[in-house]
Amino acid sequence: MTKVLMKGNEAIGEAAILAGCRHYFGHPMPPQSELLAYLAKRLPEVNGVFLQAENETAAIHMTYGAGSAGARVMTSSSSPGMSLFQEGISHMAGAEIPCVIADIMRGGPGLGNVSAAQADYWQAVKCGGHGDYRTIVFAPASVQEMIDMTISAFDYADRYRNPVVILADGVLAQMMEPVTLPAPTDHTPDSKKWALGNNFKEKKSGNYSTSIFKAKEELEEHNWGLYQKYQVISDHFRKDKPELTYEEYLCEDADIILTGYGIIARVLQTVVEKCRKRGIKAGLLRPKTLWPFPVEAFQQYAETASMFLAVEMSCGQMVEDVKLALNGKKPVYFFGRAGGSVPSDFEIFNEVDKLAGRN
Amino acid sequence: MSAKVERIILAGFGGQGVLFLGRLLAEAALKADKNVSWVPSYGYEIHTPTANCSLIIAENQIASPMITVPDSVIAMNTPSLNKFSQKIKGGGMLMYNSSLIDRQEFRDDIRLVEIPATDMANDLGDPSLASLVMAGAYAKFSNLVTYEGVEEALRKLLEKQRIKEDEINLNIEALKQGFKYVEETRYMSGRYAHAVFRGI
Amino acid sequence: MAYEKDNSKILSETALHCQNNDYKIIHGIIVDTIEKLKLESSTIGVVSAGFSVFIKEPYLPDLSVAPQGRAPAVATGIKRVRPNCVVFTCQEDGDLASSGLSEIIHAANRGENITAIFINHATYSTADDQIPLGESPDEKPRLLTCSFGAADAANPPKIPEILATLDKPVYITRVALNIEDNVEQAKKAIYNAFKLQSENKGFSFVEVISPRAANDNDAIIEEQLQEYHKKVLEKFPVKTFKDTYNVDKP
Repeated sequence: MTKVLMKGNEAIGEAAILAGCRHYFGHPMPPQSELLAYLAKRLPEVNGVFLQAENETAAIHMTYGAGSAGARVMTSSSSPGMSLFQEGISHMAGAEIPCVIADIMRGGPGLGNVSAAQADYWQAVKCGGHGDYRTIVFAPASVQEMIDMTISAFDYADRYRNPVVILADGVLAQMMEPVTLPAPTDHTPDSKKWALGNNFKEKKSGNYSTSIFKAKEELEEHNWGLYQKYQVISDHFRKDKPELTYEEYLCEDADIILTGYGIIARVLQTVVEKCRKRGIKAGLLRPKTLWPFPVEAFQQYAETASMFLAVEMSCGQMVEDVKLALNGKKPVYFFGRAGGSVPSDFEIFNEVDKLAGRN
Repeated sequence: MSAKVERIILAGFGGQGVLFLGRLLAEAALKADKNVSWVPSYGYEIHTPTANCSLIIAENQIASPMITVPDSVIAMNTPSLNKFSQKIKGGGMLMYNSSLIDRQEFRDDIRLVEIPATDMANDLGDPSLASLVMAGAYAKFSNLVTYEGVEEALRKLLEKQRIKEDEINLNIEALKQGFKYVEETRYMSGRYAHAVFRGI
Repeated sequence: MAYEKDNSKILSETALHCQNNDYKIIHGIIVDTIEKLKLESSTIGVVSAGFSVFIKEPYLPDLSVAPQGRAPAVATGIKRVRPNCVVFTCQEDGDLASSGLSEIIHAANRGENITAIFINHATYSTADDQIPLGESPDEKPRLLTCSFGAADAANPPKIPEILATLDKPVYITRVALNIEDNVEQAKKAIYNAFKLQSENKGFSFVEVISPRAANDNDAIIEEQLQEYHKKVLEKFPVKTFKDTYNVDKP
């Protein structure tokens, strides 16, 4: 298959189309705006609907509407817009509406800046909306993965009737790499019996989409039902598809395991290579799904490695999940850069070098 | 310059075409079956005098697409040269637009390549062709892309943008002149000559 | 599928909350309209979580319960997926005119081919703890807390007047339910609005003045109510503001 050069933002858009998504509702915000520009051009070519909403709040609720009508639907934004999405995501999780949300992280809090950051891990992974809910979170580290994971995201959203988040950063979204595009899949909203506007003739009463349960007992039943679903999702990834949840590089004999997701993982691979050349036994364990978090992979190397170093473009968010996964078995250190800076391989190497000396 | 990987930072004023120049070399590299990554500066940086992109062309898989120590820097203006020239790897190359950058005291451990790109572009009638002059010149030094490859990539990119044929030919002429300038001119002389010829 | 909730149970539960008389009238009109236009197999309603939840056995349209204020956006999403369905929204003043002012204005401004029914209590009263029946907007509402002043808070803007300034809506009208004639007018208006949508004409909007507290009050005095109603209609006059296709003309 021939490779084409694509920007991360465009890759997500094209992947959505390949996954059968024909509805997109969004609002431009750098560094995610090229995704809108791309879909504004591409969706009409495939008889799809592109709608630039008045704001992110409207965009997420249009997504909610389209999802509840059975469409494969996507929205996207950058960090401040993702904050506005949280209301809709909570409602969609409660009403069990599938959708895919791409969040291209930039610096925060507040307006921050448009440079790449990873400061919204908590928001995406721990869920910034209200209520007991979970969203599957994919963390691509290359433009090719932005394609592969976006397609997976649509499949999982439909399979579990749940919002799925693609969590990437400004560098990944803006960079170009060669990619291979898979064959397109078809999808029709009519395939979902539960969807609004489906099934008018067969049913006795209307299809109903809601997240309101006025009786305490009913809501509790719903809450535990959702919890059970999240367990099933977790188990599925853990048992059936561990390869979707993490990637490892030279971890078997590693003393120090570096961990990070997204663009940082790419820098970490360079750091590991450098470490190995200098005789430091470093390895890289890269989470590809942030929820479910690849807990087993960390536990496995807790037996062999002597320490872990989490590197992030934040003041330290994922590091908490690493600590939870290791449950005190091995020390976990952190190195981060914030404000939109990508840490260089040199500064991370120096950090590893220091830690290795401590060993 | 290592044969297996070329890490290039291309920088200049916004509008000087450095992002396109990087894109062009990336396309040429892809056509030549190489791995490639292209990371642009964006947002407010694109409006600064040091808009830039980081281009890596490699035989093997590319780990980090970020460049801390470039093998080459292509600088289209003085602020870019000042920002990036100190970062170049020892034995690397600084190729700069001598129409807009005054010759100054440079490091002596790198290869210097002066290209009067803006002047050459003006002679062709369009100063925005300067970045293509640089692309042609770079092709002369690259181990991973060829001039023919860059020319083909340029033609395809422009055809995709529905640029008219005579306009495309003008762009290709700029590319060719950059390449020829390096081929035919003893482009550095005097006290910098030692730097120029080292490693050639 | 790991888990899927049982919708039928929820429907009967929410049905209990549709006690208000005006709702029964409005829902009745909507259902009659759907039946008259033979849209039973193609209607999707978007309602809010408050008291505009919709019910009339044996017919039930497909329904989405939208978050407060967001119904026009949700309806937009649904309509774009199901252009052959008739999609209507049903919102109250606190929902449409306060929380969701942006959504309704932009849906209208896009000329989204949906029908918006706006039940205006003229007080922003939707929940139990808001203004009780019969209280004038000029008086300080007893049950509102702290800084909520009647003049500032319980004073919805004139939405049809605002929407009528936009280019794309095709039908914008205000009706009331206080007297028989007005109820007849309301029936016609809702029928027109649905019909226009089913003919793909564009955005239609019907405001229904219903100056009641959400909960029925034991102490309703009919005279008081009529008096209050008149006062409200002085501020919100019954009128058609936009009628591109002249559907209101006899």
